[in-house]
Amino acid sequence: MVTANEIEILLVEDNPDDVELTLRALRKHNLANNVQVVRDGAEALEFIFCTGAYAGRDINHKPRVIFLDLKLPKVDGLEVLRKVKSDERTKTIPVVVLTSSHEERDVVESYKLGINSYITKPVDFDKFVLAVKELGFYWLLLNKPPR
Amino acid sequence: MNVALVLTISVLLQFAAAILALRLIRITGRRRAWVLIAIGISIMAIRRFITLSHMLSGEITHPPDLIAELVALVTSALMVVGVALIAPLFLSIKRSEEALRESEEKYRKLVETMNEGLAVRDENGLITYINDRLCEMWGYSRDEIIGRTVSDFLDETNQNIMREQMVRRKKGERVPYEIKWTAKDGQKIPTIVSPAPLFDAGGHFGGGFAVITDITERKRAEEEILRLNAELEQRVIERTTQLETVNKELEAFSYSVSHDLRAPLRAINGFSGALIEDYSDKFDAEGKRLLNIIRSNTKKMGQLIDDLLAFSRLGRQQMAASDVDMGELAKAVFDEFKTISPGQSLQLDIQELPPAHGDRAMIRQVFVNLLSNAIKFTRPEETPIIEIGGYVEENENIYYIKDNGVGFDMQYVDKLFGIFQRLHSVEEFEGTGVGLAIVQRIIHRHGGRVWAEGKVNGGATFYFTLPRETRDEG
Repeated sequence: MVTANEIEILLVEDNPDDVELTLRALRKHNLANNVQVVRDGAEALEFIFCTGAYAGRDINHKPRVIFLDLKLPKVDGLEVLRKVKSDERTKTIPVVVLTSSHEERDVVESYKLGINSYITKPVDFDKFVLAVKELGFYWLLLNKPPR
Repeated sequence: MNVALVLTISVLLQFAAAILALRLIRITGRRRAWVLIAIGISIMAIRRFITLSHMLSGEITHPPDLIAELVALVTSALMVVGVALIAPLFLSIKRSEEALRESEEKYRKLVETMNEGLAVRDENGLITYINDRLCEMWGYSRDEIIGRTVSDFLDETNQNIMREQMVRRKKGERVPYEIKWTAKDGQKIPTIVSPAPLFDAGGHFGGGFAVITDITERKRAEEEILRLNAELEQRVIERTTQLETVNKELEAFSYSVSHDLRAPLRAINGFSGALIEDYSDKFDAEGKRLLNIIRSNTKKMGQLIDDLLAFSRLGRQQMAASDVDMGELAKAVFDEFKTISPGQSLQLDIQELPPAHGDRAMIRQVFVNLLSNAIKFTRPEETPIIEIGGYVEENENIYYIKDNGVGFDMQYVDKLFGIFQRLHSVEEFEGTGVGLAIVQRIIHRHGGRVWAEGKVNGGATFYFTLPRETRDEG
């Protein structure tokens, strides 16, 4: 178990099957070591802003990248995105929207809010693994966020 | 002897004059005047006749003076000529009087029988004449109207209109206006009044007349039209709201399909993949084959969902029309296909295409779908040739994409553009049967048409038209 301060990837996803498959995809490329999974938008905000269950966490230890599903219980993904991108402390965290939605309005809305990438989760797992690998490497290794 | 002859002619002429004078009675009337004149002339004739008879019987020894009798003869002749000459004058006077009477009669009849009301007023605004139609319209008898002012037949509001109109009338204006009369039974009668003010030679206002048209029916029809329009408007609003609701539901539906239907598929695909990877030693070849069938079917279903969503999205998407260089667009799409499948030898024969006006992204999709079909169905050919052409017709541009591929049976031409309709098995040619349905929907939204011609193993040609002026048909 990693400590909350060393989290590299925050995965916000409510579907347990998708969580498992995403972790599996990350593991394939050795990206799954420091992953924190949260199951809804409210928990995601608590983690990011160090409140509630995550009150003890240091906000300056930002996740290197957030993989964010849009359709979430309690607080939806777009709302999480809006909060993250409108806060000075968190707006530099790269956010990759991970969703099965093809709906154009989601894409447009997400880009308006300043997401960094967008993956439509394909039915084909192999393609998904490829996309996760590319984006994971890109954001974790090539594009080191300012500290 | 000479004197007797002169006297005889004088007598005859004077009688003729008397007869002519009597005949004039018929033309001019004035019987008494003409009878007196005739009697006077006749007395003169009788007097001459008496002189003549005395002369012939020899009772007078001194015959009358020849010169004097000649003068009398000339006078008699002048009398006849005078009376004869005056006749045409009286005749023409009589004729014009008759004509005037006839004309008056005609106009009187016209005024009495016309469908519009007519009122004549004097300079003080008192009604001096009205026709039957106006009596009927107002519900009063003529005696009840004559001598009163028009204001007596108007309520206060309309009296104000009339006052204002009277001011204009005195300035000589004669523009028709609308006014509502109050009939005897209290009913309000909407009318259009066409006024004609009269001015005397000195330019003073001398009353006038007005033609009054009952527009009750017209008003009723107008109100009916307004009511129907409002009703229609209301119905359009209701229908639009309904459609918007349905559209929103549809959007929510496809959103949900997109999200929720794909998630389990992804799980089936992902976990069966995981099975193959993690437990490969526990499965024999047949077990792995079966798992792969599951995986490929999830992929296929994923594709079907995506295609269906793309198709439904097309109906809702806003169109952004601009000028499109069709030749350039077709060429760009074809080049993309060439880079995707460099192995296939593809020959493109592209003619000059007339430029179009439409949604560039959508028209691009048309080329993508038609060209991918052409490439797909020419795959068995050794030398696939694809031809793109177009020409201008009266109101539309016609474009076509022709290939020398496997073609199709014209018997099934109606099925070609239906969604999920396929003329080949998936083993022969892959696909979900949405491509041509999308082409059709895009072209229909542009107000164009699509059709196809083909022959089994004889190639296929797909045509589409775009109107020269694009409108969104929804």
